[in-house]
Amino acid sequence: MSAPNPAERLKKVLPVPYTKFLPDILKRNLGKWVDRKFHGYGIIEHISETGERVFTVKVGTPPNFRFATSTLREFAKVADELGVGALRFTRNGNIEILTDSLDKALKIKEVVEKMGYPVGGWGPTIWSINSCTAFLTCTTAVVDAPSITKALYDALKPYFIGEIPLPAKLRINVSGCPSSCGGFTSDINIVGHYGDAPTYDPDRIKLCLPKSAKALEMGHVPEVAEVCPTNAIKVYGKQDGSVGLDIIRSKCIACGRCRDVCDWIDFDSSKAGVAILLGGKASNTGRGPLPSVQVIPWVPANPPEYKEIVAVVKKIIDEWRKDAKQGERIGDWLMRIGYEEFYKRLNIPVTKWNQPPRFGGEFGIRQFFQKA
Amino acid sequence: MSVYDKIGEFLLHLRFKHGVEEFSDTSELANFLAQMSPGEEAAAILSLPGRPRPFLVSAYREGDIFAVAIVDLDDVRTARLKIGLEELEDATSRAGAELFGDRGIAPFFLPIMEKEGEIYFAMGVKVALDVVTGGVIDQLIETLEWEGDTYYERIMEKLASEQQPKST
Repeated sequence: MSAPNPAERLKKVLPVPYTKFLPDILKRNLGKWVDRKFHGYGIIEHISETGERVFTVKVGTPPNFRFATSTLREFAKVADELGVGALRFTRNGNIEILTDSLDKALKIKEVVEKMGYPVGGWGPTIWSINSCTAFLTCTTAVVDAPSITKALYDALKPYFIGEIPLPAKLRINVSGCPSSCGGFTSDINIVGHYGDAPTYDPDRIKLCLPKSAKALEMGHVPEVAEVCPTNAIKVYGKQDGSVGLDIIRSKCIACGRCRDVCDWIDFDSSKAGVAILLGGKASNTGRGPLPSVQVIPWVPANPPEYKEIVAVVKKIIDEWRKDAKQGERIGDWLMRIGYEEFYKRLNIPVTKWNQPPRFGGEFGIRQFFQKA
Repeated sequence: MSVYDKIGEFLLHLRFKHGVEEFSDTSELANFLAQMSPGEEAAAILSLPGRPRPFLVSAYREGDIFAVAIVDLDDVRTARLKIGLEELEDATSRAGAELFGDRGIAPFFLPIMEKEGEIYFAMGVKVALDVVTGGVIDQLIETLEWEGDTYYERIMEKLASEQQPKST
């Protein structure tokens, strides 16, 4: 069988008419939803203008949303027997099971909790802890994001199920490396990184360099240096005709691109840790959408309990809970009290890596209303 | 963006936007080129095992003659030149033909990008062939690898001499 011409792929017509795959109750009420009610945390009722109601139960999933097919079958069974025969995965990896009465929704909650999965989210709770896949399949992971997520979920479960209310919604992202596939624009973001510049094997590094100083004169572009986004790698010809390499630590951002193109460059894994970024959000509440800001450049990542990371995250949440106004997300709270004050309260030293940001003006559509 | 990012992007465009054929063997490539009709042009990517980046091949058939250009995207070089990015291929092809035309080959530089006053390019050769076989393509690749530095040096010298003001 011959491979299809790649250009043919572009001729596909998307999107597919997805509505035809919906369960009947959703198909009947599409675009007719007029109201909603919360029934504790993790259960939401949507009310249609037709009078029909759909109850959705939000279930927290294992880190990186990893399931055995047998577990998925159990969830499907619950959705068939107690729901409307449908469930969905949210972009943050929760499972939402839909049903048509509050009694059934409460029953679903009871059953999935017996299976070992918490029901929570929505309102002033943790909505999700999103995680990248890290070492399971990734070649660039620095820390194991799913196991950090597991440690965080264990410590923060009361905030997910609503046992301890928060000032506002809280999203947490955990990424194993600065590629940030787990996301880095949430209220709390944890991003793995190497913490220091790489080093190289002095005998074998020559396999990644032009053969001789003469080759450099012939204009050859050394890939290890060329891929460095900060020009932290210098390749130079020596007097004896060989080629040397310098890594300028002060310029290196430990992105790992040199390591990707050369097997003889690597990082010291004992220095691997995570950066903590705070305050990202896309909503138009408070000060409007905000980018996340690096507040702690490095926290050690010590498996399996990741005590330091868990302690830092809990401390941040505690301080926010203590001081924030109702509905004030972490970004809005930080903007109100100021990053300098936040650093003072948490005793975080200020370096060039976590300078308090200065945002000019406000983001979001409200600025247009204010002008009008 | 590094020159290698640029090459990666370029290859993605060739593969997925333009649907350029890709071969992992010089004989397969030769068969593909040999099937061209007179007046037909073709482009192909030659990805030989064990190499990080492929060769780019462009061919045109006129009568029984095949004009073939092969560029080694793994042999990327840089230079500060007085000529612009757009003129580089023409100027170096002309220089290459004048210097090495008697050997039936015209080495040239395929421009890729310009950054901070330096032009980045890949080394290539252009030839006219009456027979295209896998062996001939292997030979061209080998020649490009062995003679690359000589081609580079001689073409750079020629460009420099052409840019010197002529004495009266």
